[in-house]
Amino acid sequence: MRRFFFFNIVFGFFFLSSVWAVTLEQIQKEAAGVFSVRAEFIQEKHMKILAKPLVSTGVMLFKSPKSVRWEYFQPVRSILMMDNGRVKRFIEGENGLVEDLGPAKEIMQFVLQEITYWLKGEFDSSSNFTTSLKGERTIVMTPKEESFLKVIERIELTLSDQPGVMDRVRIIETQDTYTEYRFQKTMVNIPLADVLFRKI
Amino acid sequence: MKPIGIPGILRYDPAIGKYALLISVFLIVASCSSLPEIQPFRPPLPKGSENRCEQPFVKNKWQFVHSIRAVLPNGQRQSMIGTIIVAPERNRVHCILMSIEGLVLLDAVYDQKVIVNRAVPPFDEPGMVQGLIWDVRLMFLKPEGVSTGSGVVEERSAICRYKNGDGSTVDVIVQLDGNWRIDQYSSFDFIQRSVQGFFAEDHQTGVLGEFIPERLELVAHGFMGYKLSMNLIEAIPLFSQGLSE
Repeated sequence: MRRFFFFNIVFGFFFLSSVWAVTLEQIQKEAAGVFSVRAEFIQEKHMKILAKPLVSTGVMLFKSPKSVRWEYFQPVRSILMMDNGRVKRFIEGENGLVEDLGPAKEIMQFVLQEITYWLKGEFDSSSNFTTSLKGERTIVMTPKEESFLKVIERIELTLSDQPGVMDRVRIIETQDTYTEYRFQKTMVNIPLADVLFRKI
Repeated sequence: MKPIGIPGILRYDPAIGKYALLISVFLIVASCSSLPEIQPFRPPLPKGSENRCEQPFVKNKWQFVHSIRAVLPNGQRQSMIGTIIVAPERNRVHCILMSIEGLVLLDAVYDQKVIVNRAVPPFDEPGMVQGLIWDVRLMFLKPEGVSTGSGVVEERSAICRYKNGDGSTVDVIVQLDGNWRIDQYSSFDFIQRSVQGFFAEDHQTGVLGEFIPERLELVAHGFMGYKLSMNLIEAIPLFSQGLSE
């Protein structure tokens, strides 16, 4: 069941590579030099039946080795935090941000664990995808298992000109349904306080 | 057995206890199972009283996006984004629930029957999908039952009552301030669902002649009851843009 929730793996693809890296090994080598990232993102959900895509915005923080903060501002404020493997999820309700104790937390624990592999360029650490380079700028990840393929056709990561930065991640579920994340105002290797990954 | 209690004031007899329990159960059931009494409209009627019961229901095709907070039967709280496309002329609804991160949890259509395009646990339970689709229909589509009465309840709120073929009843109650409530009762007059639509005080203007509430609250009563709180993010009139599925 967990694999169905693998859509959210976008978190992990942020700074795997640069345009100058031409092999996965080189990508991993470059990723090893990145210890923190901050980027704003725009998330668009495209479905054939929607009159227009559903748009969400937020900010993503990463600090090596295993700390992630993925925060949505609109349309629903929520914060997903992983601090050295421990995951917390907060969603805004009538009384402010409230910790989400439902099953989603367990799912996200799994998702974020996978993310940390990719953040470090360790593709071999995850047994879920086959990874290939398409041209010089795009990494294509294809699920290995048939059951997973029914949910995600493939994931495409488009690299930026700036070493260590991703421009776009597209998670393609079917020909007509995909989620696209566009990153902007990216800062790499900036100091990020540990408290950002522990407190809301 | 000797009665227990202070003589002359209150005595407990086990036999009384048995009956008291039965009476309590009866009272609890009775309290949950009464249809409100409808008073006839009396002049002077507030402006548009006759048509107020129509207000909760969409008349044209819309796409709604809501943030949804659900309290499930086990007490778990989940937050989701819901997209609902309603086409009243075809009696069709398309419901997509997704996580805040964009994961599609449920994609289901009602078009004469329920068609599930995608569902992940716990939304893959047929009963749950059916229930959700009926909830959406209750919120947005005019009841299919026969109109059996209309009038006034609760300090000049307009009420219209519909009786379905299976004996169940739907009451549509619209208050003077525009907020509304839809109550669904079983054939034994037990309340099953309550939906309330709320408008922001300063945002009672209609869109293309239709009034879309900023907030919806649905309560499913009973042992496996749940609650949905839905805040409107976006309402797109598909009919005015020539958009179709």
